[in-house]
Amino acid sequence: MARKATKKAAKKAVQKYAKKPAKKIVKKAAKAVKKSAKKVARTVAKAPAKKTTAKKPAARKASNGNGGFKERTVKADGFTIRYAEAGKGDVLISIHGAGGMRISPAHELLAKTYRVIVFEVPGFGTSPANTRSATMAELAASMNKAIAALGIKKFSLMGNSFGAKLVSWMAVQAPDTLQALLLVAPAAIRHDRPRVVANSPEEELKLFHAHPERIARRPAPKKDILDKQQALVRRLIGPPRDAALEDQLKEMKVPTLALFGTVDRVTPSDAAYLYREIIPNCHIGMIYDAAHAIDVDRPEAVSEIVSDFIERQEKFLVTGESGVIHP
Amino acid sequence: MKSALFCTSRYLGPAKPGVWPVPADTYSTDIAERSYQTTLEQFRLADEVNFDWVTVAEHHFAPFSLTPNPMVFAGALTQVVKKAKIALLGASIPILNPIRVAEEMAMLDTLTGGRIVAGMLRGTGNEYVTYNLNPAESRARFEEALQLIRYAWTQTQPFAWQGRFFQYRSICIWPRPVQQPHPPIYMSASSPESGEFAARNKLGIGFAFTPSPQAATAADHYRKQAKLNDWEPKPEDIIFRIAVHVADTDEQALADLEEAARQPAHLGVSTANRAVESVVAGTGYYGRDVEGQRGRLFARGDLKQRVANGQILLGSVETVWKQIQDLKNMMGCGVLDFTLATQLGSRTLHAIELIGEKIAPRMREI
Repeated sequence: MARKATKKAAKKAVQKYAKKPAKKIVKKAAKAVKKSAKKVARTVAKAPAKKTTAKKPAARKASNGNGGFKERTVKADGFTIRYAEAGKGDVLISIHGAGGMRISPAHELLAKTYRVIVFEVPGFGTSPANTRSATMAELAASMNKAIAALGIKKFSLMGNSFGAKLVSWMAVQAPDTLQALLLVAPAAIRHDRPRVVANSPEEELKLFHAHPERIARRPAPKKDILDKQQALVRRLIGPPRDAALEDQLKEMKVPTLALFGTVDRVTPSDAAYLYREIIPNCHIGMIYDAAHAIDVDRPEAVSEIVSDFIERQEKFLVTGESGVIHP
Repeated sequence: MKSALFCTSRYLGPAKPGVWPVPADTYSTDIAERSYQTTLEQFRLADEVNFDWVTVAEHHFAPFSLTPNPMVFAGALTQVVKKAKIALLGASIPILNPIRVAEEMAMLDTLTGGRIVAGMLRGTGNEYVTYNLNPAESRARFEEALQLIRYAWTQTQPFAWQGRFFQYRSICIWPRPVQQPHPPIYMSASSPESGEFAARNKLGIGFAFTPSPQAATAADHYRKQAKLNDWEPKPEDIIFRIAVHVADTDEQALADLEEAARQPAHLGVSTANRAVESVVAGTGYYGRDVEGQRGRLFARGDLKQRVANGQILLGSVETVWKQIQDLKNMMGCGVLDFTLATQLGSRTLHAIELIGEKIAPRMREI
């Protein structure tokens, strides 16, 4: 069911995408051709080839910024932690990246099948500055306690970018609670090279989005919030190759899917092989034509593969889709 | 400047003209076998007389070309052509399984010790009928397929692919390409969109069935776009495919070509079925320069006009050499893909010898 729902949504979006019309009608090629083509066009006009529509990539409905998610808080490990929740079914916990909590179009799609809980990490958004978590491992322990405080015993865990490093720590601390681990544009294991920096809002938009037209509009975070978040990320993110984490990941058996955007310059896909080499049960997914904000650029593609992986783990390698066209 | 020999592997017998797909009711297995042997012989000779490349192409359902899968023919060429590069110009990747393309090209690169040139084309409009695909999606399928093939060549760990048109759960090809990170990639750039894509992705380009002035304009557009993307194409990044016949004298060359024109030409793969072509044009397949793209496909005229338009190189060695210099000056191309304009047995073989022995050495100097 999970695959069906997301595949349907993905198919619809793809149909909306991709097609560009001939902007102008052919005036003439060669004279003889023109005559012939017109004649033929008249002949075939009654039964033309299936004409594809000419819409630009579907601008995602902005909704109200939370996509039907309801916000609540939970107290855990001395923090009051905000989260947003929607949907029913198996639980999917999502942890945001360095930019802070947001409900992405992929969350909305996944909430059609799963009980999706999107946490705000202490120290992000309007929560007080988090000066207490000394390490990512400590912060991970706090987040695992928050999940336990909600009475959730088994779940899938998804993290974006910085959040992927946090969920990697959460996973190694409590592997038995996990159905699947999903690392989205992950910054958990990185090549040691200078970070790509955007020097203007326009550059930042291009850096994070291959399809900015698909961004749902929402108010930009205030500068003091951004500064607070960035300080926390800088303090906790750790080195590109974090031996303490990698040593534990090498022993972790949780089925893992790491997704990379093919045009992501923040966490480029050329690091994908490292995840595969380090995490024993890790699969790699390339999301075509997506930048760092994979789940905004190609939410249908992300939610489809994530759903399939949560549902079937390693079995997702073998398609169950029928190839029959007409029975 | 490099010399390449392109032979379409034309069916050397009669077939119904002006239609597509071409009915096979006149097909002769003997003639087809002879056609292949003729092509192999021509390519073998081209290699012996030091052509830099030999090239094969993909076309379907027509006697114009008996290589619907150029990879298969290139596989045979690996056992015949020992020095020249073998250029696939190309695989029509939007209508194929890109993983299969990546695998086959890697096989060929391995069999040749790294002598494959990877042309990736959209194919002519009619070829979307071949495998029942929507030509409106041609460009988007092409762009995705190309990136997927690159990933298949360069990723050493298994990976899934979540595309718009292609989806795979686990890819890790064997064998791997010899050339690293992968064989040089070329694509057609006769349309402005294609030139822009090639420039963004640092790919080589090629022109076929394009009058030279139009190709020169498109090459200039490509170079400008490359500059915007902070790189400068080398001459070898631009291939110009052009029909050729060389003889001992200009008069003999013209007489040969006129004789060849009386043979079944099997031209017009993309334009033979006007109904299909017209519908394809209406889907947006040609992009924003519909008029120019259709015009180049339908460009015809008598032989002298076609020579004057830069569509055929014709004449003695000296005459053709001058024409080549003009082409080089006009568009800055670094590879000339000579398409055999005749199939006249020993006279065609002689043309190959003249090009390889008398013209190609001069080309290497410019």
